[in-house]
Amino acid sequence: MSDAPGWVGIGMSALVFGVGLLDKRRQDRRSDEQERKQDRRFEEQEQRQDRRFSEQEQRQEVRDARQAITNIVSYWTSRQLGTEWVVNDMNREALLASVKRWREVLAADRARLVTHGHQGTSRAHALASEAVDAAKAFLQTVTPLVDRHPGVPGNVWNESDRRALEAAIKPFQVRTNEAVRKLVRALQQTVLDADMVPLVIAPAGGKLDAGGDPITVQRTFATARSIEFDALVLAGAPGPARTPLPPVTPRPVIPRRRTGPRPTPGSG
Amino acid sequence: MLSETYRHGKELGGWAGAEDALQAAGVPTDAPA
Repeated sequence: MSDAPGWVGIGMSALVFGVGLLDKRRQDRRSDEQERKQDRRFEEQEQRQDRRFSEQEQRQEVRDARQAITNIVSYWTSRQLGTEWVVNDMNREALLASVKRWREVLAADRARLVTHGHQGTSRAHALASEAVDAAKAFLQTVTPLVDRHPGVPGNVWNESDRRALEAAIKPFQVRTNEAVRKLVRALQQTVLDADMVPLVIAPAGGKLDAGGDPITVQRTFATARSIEFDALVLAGAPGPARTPLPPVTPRPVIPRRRTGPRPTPGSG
Repeated sequence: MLSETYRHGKELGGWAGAEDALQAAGVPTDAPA
């Protein structure tokens, strides 16, 4: 029995050791949980950041695509490069400089679109590529011709060079015009996909050639009426109507009715 | 037709060059949607 206190001591220390072990295990579990929570928080933060980056990237891509389309269409229409009478512009050097500038702007737009990585699917990228390639082919043919006649107006050029320039302008215009019309085709398809009915309006009736896939003009400026549509999208700034539009009759001014209490019979 | 569409309160959209056509038709480009 003399060993009893010794056993008690051993028991007590074992108990303390057990309690210590339990406490340590609890602390370990708690720190594990904290670590897991922190990891989860980091993961969520990273996911949020990734989402934000991809949204910003998408927005930037849309902005760049819109800018590229704007540059192509507005320059094409404002400089009248796509018109038939551009061949009558006798200042060939200015014409060349204009196409060069246009090509530079479009090449920069295309390079910006490539960085987004969706160049295979982007319509804007396809349009920019087509326009850049068309301009490149034009410049390759016309630059040596213009260099051969520095400062000489186009009407003084010899016949063969004049014809060579005219021959270079035509495919340039056809390719770019078709590329721009493909946008109209894409717009038409998008409207159809959304279960709506698109109607193509143009200055004159007929067909718009969009790279071998003609688009039928369904209304002209003379025959279209606003009541037929719920919305209108202006795909560029088309030229004036081929047929004269009917004159707009000004609305007659309808006199307003007199307001106030209605006179009662026998009041005056 | 543009001004008619605008007066009828229809949605008007567009890209490059649309501003010029809208201005020519007397439609303000900053009008509320």
